[in-house]
Amino acid sequence: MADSLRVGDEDPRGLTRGARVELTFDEVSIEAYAGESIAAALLAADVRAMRRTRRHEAPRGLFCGIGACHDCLVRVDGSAPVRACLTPVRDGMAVTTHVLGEGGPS
Amino acid sequence: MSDRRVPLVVLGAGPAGVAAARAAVEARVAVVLIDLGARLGGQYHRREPEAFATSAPGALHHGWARWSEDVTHLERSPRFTHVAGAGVWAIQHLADGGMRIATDREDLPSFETDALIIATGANERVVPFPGWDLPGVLTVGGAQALLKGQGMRPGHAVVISGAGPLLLPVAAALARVRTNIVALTDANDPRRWLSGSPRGIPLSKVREGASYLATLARHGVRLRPRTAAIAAHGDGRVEEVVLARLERDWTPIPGSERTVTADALATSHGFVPDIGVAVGLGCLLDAQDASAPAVVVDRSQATSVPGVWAAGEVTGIGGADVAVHEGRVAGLAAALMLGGDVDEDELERAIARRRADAPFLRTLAGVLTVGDGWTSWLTPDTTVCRCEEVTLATIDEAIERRGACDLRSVKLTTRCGMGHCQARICGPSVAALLTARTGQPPADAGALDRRPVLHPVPLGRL
Amino acid sequence: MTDHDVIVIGSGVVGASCAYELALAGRRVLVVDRGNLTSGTTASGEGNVLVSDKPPGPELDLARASVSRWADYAAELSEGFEYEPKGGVVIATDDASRAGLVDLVSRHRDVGVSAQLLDADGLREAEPHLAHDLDLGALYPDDAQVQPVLASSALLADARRLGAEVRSGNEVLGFSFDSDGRVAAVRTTEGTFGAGAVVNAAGPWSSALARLAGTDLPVRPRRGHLLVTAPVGRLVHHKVYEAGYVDTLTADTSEAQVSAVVESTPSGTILLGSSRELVDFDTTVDLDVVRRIAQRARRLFPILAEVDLLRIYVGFRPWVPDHLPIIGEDPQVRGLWHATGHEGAGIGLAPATGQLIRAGITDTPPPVDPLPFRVARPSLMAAAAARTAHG
Repeated sequence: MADSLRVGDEDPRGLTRGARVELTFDEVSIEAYAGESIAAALLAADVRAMRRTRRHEAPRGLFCGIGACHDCLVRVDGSAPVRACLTPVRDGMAVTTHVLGEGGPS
Repeated sequence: MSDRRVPLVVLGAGPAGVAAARAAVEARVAVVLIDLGARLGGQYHRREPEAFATSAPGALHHGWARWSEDVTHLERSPRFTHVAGAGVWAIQHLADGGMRIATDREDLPSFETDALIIATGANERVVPFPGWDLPGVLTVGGAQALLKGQGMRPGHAVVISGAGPLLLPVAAALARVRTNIVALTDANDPRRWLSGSPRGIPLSKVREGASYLATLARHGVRLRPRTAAIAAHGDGRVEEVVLARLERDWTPIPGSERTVTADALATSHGFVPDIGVAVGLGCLLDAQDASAPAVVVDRSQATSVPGVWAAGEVTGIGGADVAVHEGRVAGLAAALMLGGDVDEDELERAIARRRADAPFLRTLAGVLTVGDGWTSWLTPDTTVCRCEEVTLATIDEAIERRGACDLRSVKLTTRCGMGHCQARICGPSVAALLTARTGQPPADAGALDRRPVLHPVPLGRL
Repeated sequence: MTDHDVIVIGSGVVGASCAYELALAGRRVLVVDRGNLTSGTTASGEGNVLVSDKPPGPELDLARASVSRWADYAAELSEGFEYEPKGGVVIATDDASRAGLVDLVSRHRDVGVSAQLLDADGLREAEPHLAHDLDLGALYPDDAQVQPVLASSALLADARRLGAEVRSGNEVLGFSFDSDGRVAAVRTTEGTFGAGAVVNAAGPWSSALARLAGTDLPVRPRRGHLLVTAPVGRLVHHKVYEAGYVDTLTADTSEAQVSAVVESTPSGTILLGSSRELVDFDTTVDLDVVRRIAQRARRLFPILAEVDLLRIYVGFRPWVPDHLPIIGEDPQVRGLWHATGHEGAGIGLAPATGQLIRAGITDTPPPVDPLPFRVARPSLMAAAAARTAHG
């Protein structure tokens, strides 16, 4: 895809991604590459909202990108919430939107 | 719970921490370096994941040659241990003068140490504006992490807006990989120092800045000075960004607003030292700027607490070169105390090298300012604390109706800073708002950086 | 030089309640605090409003009066404070505490406190996430919870509306007396303020303040740790604590006593307490105590293992040797009233304490018998005598 967010040959580092993997986000299938963070994979699939806030259920997504802000919390295979920016994708993982303050750990 | 006792722990794997660790191991002192990242580098030299391959790994990095030399030396040393992927969640003074460091790694729960070098760097400062909580708005550092760490652009049509030293390098790197940059704006006027006029800016920095501008120009990106993104709009994600020209103090000029279409907005307005560890250990702070307190150190980078040194951005914003100079001093000084093989002349030379940075740092402090006028682009329902969804109106109400007049009382009455980020994002803004509203800086500057839990940790990992 | 009728020293919940009650009675009140407003003991408390942990006796009477006054405050104060009359659940976690819990419930019912034993099914219904092996507990519907800092600031805000003045960062340096030896003024870092009466609501610091006035109070700091999780929603529906908690209240050691107190808050967080140790004003977080609290809490709610810890508060409760608040005028220094020594129950007992102080100063009928709380009571005198003998 020409307008992909993934940088291709333009990357001066000569980047080669890891193996292709498949995951789901809220049950929709997404393709990604081993080594990518969940946040990067979602972004490349045009997903911007990763969780909803507790008070106003407002959508939130990747913000600080380095694990400080916790705005990109998602659930993986029904787990307690994890930071999408720090968590690498895994083939077959089921990622879901996290609604903060609802339900707690499954 | 088995604690490993080690002579020296370095917190942080950025330029300062790695320089400190290298100096110490060369003085034959065993070092444990703990960092959240999977690889050495911190934010400045963030690497791609191990699962990616690169033919020229340093191509997007400034100062790569020196960095990789440091890393090579370090990783070759039998005295060096890198504890990667470890979040330090607590540090406790021990009765024998040592410290206990608790991490969230299940296999390596905690360490005891005689000496500690704090090289925790800085957090980005982002001043709020209406819509800054929409998905698609991210920090400039976040955009950099995406690019360096993931080979990813933040969006298809990107606005880069803010202030501070990160803006130009990130914009240039994004331009280089053919990102569609819709607008690039700086709330200050970086042409002032790019022209080399302020004294103390080394020629190398002027050249570095000029090269970023040249790269941007080659890709048709023009920097708009004294301009800021003052609002973002969209249905569930960023679709439009409102730009406005600013007075020198960042007050938007009425009628200058212009709306551009974008699906990403990268924004930040400088850095604030990440002082949480130092506050927890009781280190003296310099809180002249209540929004960005820094750790006070002496000429050998020693903090006010015996056995604790600090190096890099945590002692004040100075950039990677200064961080390396400080890291070397701290590493040598700690090694000297621990009975390492340190030539005192060597330490003095390192101190002299760091002292030569002083004029640059003074000038930098004058350049990296956040104008007071940003508070005028907020509306009452603008979110200030993202985690707890606290609006400007709620903060004003706490100040006016409940008499909250310091950081701690604003926090406890509004929940500002009580959420997951532990005030890392909103803290500087709350301090600035309180200063603006009460006419004086809060008496308890640094209070929002008091975090007995340094990072969230599952109760099952304690 | 009587700028004010009453000066209240301390802006924690006890001082705030005294100020509000006195302002309601038409008194001109000045509140001073040497630090930031409500930044001491109140700012590190859970917000317990409990009858369940108090055996029948004067403290229970004070607690019951306070529970009812908290409900008034929730209805009448201009600002909210997350008042939750949600009830408490006490759990027996070992054989030793089973008999004690059954006995306590029976004694409570004898004096008219609502209490009901719960079996395994009853516990499951009240708290679905409780560990499955727990099978004996008690439900106390009158237990409640408030957010302590919001509660204090709401009381102070309405006291202000009634004409009170509140000054933070204003430290008391000493007292002035009239020719009869009665307190006439308070000297502070911001000047001297005259008043007809002074209320010592300085919590764990109240004995130091008493010394400034030339008198003596046996109040000592009893340190506690409180853990706060990330927001996870309503995993816990009541204030839940293990029955052993009641025993730790009176075990006076320097070694940390730990027992689990667990509750959700309206902000979605979960509060985990508690520890008690007599170790002076040491603000150091003790990671071993933190781990023990987390372990005890997980014993009740195993699901907590996956929940993030976000904050730890270390605070100091005002401890007294006979475990009863000190409320009343000092017999040696007339005009100096003490409202202190509530230990871990200051939030719960603050409203009736304020009412007692108001009744004493305005010479009106008190909500409960003030006599058991007086400064010169035999149990305190005995402790003071023992101290003198040792010293």
